Amino acid sequence: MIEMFAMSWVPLVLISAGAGFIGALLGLGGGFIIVPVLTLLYGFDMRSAVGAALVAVIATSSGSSVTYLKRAYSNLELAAFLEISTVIGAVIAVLVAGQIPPKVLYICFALLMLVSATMMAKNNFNHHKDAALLPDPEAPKGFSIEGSFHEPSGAVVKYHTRHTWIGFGLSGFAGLMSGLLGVGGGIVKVPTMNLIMGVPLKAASATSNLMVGMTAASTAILMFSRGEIPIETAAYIAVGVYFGARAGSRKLHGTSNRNISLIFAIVAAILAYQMFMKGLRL
Amino acid sequence: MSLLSKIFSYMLGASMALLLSGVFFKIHLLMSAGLVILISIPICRAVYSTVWFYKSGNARGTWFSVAVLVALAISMFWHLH
Repeated sequence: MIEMFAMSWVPLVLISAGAGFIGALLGLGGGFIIVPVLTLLYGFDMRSAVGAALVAVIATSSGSSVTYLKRAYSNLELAAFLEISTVIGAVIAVLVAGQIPPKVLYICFALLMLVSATMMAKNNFNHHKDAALLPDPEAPKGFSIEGSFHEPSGAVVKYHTRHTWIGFGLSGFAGLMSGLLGVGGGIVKVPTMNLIMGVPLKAASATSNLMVGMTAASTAILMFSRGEIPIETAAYIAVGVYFGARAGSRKLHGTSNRNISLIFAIVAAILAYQMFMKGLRL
Repeated sequence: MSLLSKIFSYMLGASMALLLSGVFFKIHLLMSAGLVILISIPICRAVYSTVWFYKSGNARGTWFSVAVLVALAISMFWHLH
């Protein structure tokens, strides 16, 4: 099986395109698909797989950002604000790494993912009652960041973030988890923006895509300069992911918030299971 | 903002052209050049956003962007040492 896959790059490019598509649609980057594929099917060591996955995240972020910036889904100000705490969280992760048992981290993160998946699924079924899917155009009291975009119908969706500082803190937590467990921050940031901050799902996904690219780039530069990124594999992945991300970002425009939240809930549940099993094996 | 989108479209186009040529002709140098451009896109975007916020008079956005750039620089420095 492994030999068959290793013989051809075609499956890798196709899998990468799928990862780019889902990553762009959900704001997750796509690294969560690339790492297991490279380690389990292609026999790469973890370090090289992570290096190639970082390139995939950047390709997803860059490929989708072209469409998202054109359609004004990405909120640059919100991305910059949340990215501050994400990077601080990632730096703290370097300091506390090794002090918390990985088993505890994996299981806690799996439980968090499960809660996140349940809440996203609940949104999917109660979407009419859900304030997060029906953004409040009025500015709340206190610090808030506003944004707007056009729906396919032509309607303008205006929103103001609420609980902005809580979102800032949770974004820092995403950076911390990202640094400690190597999981992308998008899986925490999208539900945080949508469920807590009241950002519409499409804007949350697009803004998350912008942020994960920035975080991945800073690590990728270091890994590239150390020669830790497998060039040829990363090149094939980047090409596949790019075209998948372009398709995914175009698909987002016509996809309903209900369907995006349902797909997100399924992916989050799968990730929660993976993390839980990983934690139990340690 | 359309200019930002346009600049990164060109950067992406150049990166993909190099990556595809490298993949087809099996030239590592072209692949590496394509990856370097691709990896630099988010950082260039962060720098451009700062300038864009500043020029459009968005003081809050400018500060956020500057803070991100400083945090990223500290993070990279931290990892290097």
